[in-house]
Amino acid sequence: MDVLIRRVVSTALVLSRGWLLELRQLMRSRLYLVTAVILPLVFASLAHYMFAGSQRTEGPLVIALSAGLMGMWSTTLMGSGSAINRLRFMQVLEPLVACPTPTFLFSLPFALATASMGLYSLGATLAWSALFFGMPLELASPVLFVVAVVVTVVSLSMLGLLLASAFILYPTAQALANFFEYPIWMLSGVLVPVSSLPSSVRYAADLLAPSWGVKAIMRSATGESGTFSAVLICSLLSVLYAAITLILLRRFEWLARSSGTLALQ
Amino acid sequence: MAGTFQRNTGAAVTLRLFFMAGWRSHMALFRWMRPSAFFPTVIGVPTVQLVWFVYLGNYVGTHPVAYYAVGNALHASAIAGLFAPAMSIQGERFSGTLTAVLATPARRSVMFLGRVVPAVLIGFLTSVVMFALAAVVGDVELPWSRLPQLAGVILVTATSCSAFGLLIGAIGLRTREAILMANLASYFMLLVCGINVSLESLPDWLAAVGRLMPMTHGIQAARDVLAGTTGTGVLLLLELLKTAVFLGIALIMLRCLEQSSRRHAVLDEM
Repeated sequence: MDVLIRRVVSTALVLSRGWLLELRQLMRSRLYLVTAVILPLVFASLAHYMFAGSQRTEGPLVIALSAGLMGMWSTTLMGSGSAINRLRFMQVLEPLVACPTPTFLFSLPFALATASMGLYSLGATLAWSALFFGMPLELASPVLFVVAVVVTVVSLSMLGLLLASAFILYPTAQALANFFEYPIWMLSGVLVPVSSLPSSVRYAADLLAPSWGVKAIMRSATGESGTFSAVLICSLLSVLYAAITLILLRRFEWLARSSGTLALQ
Repeated sequence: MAGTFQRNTGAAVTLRLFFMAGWRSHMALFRWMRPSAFFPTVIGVPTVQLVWFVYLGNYVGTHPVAYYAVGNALHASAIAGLFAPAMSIQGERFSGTLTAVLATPARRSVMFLGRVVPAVLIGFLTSVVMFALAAVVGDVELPWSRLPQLAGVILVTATSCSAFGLLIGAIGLRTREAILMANLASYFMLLVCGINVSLESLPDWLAAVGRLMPMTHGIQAARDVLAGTTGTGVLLLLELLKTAVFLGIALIMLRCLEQSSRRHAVLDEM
């Protein structure tokens, strides 16, 4: 029992310290901060201006939430994508992989930290939309909304980590990170409902945790039913992503170590 | 001294530095020697972007789908144009070769402008591919008779974006975040350059900023060419004027920041 408690405490310490360290590192970069501050506002403005004059019935709240989620995903993807390569560039990836802490455990806080930065993105988009685009700041169920946001943040970080696991093996794979931005927006149902996608693509959207997160956030904000089920499916898919990432990281780490390419940039 | 190399050698060396060195450094900095890394980045990202905005534009219904397809097909040239020159300086620093490159007696304008040429070419080719895709998914009609004019518009726009990319790249002499700036500029252009939102729909001050950004007049020219409207020459001249201004400012900044970095011994600072 003592061993288990000690393991849980040490894991919690690794995660919290890693999360704090990565947040501090991200905040040291002034330009990253400027980008993280401005990008959500650009997304929000783009979404509002594109829908201005449209016959569609989406209200400003739905448009603002969609834009905020776009910003969250971009921030997570950008941060998760660069985290492994940053470790490689600082020449600490090899010592970290060699230490007894599993690769998954030291990678997870990086994804969580960038997703936490994404929380700002959502908040900034809502504030920007309320100030300049007349969005009413009324949430049907504030408590459920917070739960849905937290679950979505975790799901985005898990997806980011899943993609970033390939960066251990392929240093150039970061260039592909941007590739995943638009397809995830499309499959998640931000700005355009998933129901308007072709039926074959809708199945792929159902396997994507953030698409359930988007549903949960939208439903809790507008008062539609089905928030609980969306939160539950989003959480289950996030656990599945974590399990796949764990397997992939072990495999990729072994391949990179055996081919001697771990430190190569 | 920078430039003595060219003064003491012939034009052939200058041309070699401009074209060959520019192309090789461009390919090496992006680790694009293998097509498996090159194509997903250069073609993949603009493809998913075009499909997304056509899909979104079709749903929103404010403009015809072709409006979004043309805007995003041309914006594809900005992706190569902004990132490649921005990376041409930051990448040298990351590779630890910036000091060696700046220690050479080569003329800076020849060396750095040579790095813009591959970005223009790749940006141009990417946009051409995206226009073909736009014809398939975005209802864009491409009459044979207007293709030469359209090619001219794409080339001018790609040059303008690459010149702006060099301006961002110059900042990379002092910061390590030129790529982030290029990323931000690329998204900002989606908002203010008339790619997905017409300038008339924007507030006056934002539309004015958009007119100062690269590609705004190029996109209008491309839409006019495809619609068979006359008067695209003026729009292209304005785009070329912006190109000249961007290049001029970029070269001045490169010179000033190089001198300042040498003075403060921060060339290699990460």
